[in-house]
Amino acid sequence: MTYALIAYFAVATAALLALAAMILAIGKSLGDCPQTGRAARAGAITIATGFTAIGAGAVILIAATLPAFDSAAPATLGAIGLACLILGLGFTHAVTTLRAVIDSARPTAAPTPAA
Amino acid sequence: MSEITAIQDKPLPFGPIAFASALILAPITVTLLTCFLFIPIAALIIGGPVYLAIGTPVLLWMVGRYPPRFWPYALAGLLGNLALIAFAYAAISLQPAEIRTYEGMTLAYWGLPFAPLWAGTFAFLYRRFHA
Repeated sequence: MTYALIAYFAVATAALLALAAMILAIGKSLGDCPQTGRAARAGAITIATGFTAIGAGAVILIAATLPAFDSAAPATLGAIGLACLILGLGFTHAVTTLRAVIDSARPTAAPTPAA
Repeated sequence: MSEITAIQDKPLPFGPIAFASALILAPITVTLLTCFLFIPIAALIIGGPVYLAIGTPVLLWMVGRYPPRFWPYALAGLLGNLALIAFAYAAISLQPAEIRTYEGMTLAYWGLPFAPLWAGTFAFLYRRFHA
């Protein structure tokens, strides 16, 4: 079971850190925009922090179910699959939130006429 | 129908705290409201971990796509339970014939009323917890 936990945490933590790094990288590349760049960078750091914390909680909670199974190999593979699925879905939500942050930071296109 | 669709057509922006709270509180709420039937208490103990394993990805997918309303989410929960039944049947069918037993399927069938209830209650709670 120790090897199963080591294998599980190696893959799941690598996926978590890679996805968090990707959020920061997306925020960095969006930070080039002169109008919304500041919001993109700050939003990316905030969202990556929340993603890492919540994702670490999900990874650990899934790991807590591993010792309940008799056979380690299928349980480990199932746990890794579940963790990657949940982390990936959380990543899509994180990117959607980042896009919403940038949208709300965008200045209005033109002043309304007759204002 | 118009008054239903007029509430909200687009999914809400993702609220992680509302999601986690609603995910955990939905089965507990249903159990508290129906605890006089006794079966929901057993369902929470037996089905709770299964709900977290299957419901979390399904509901994560749903909140990004559909506004939180009871019946669409209940349908998603029902489909998730049907997928579990199909998976359990396939997994048992792959076992050697001498040890093959379909008794464990009973637990998956018992999830049929509770998965839609829990998922629909999740939508109800998520909408209210959402800032």
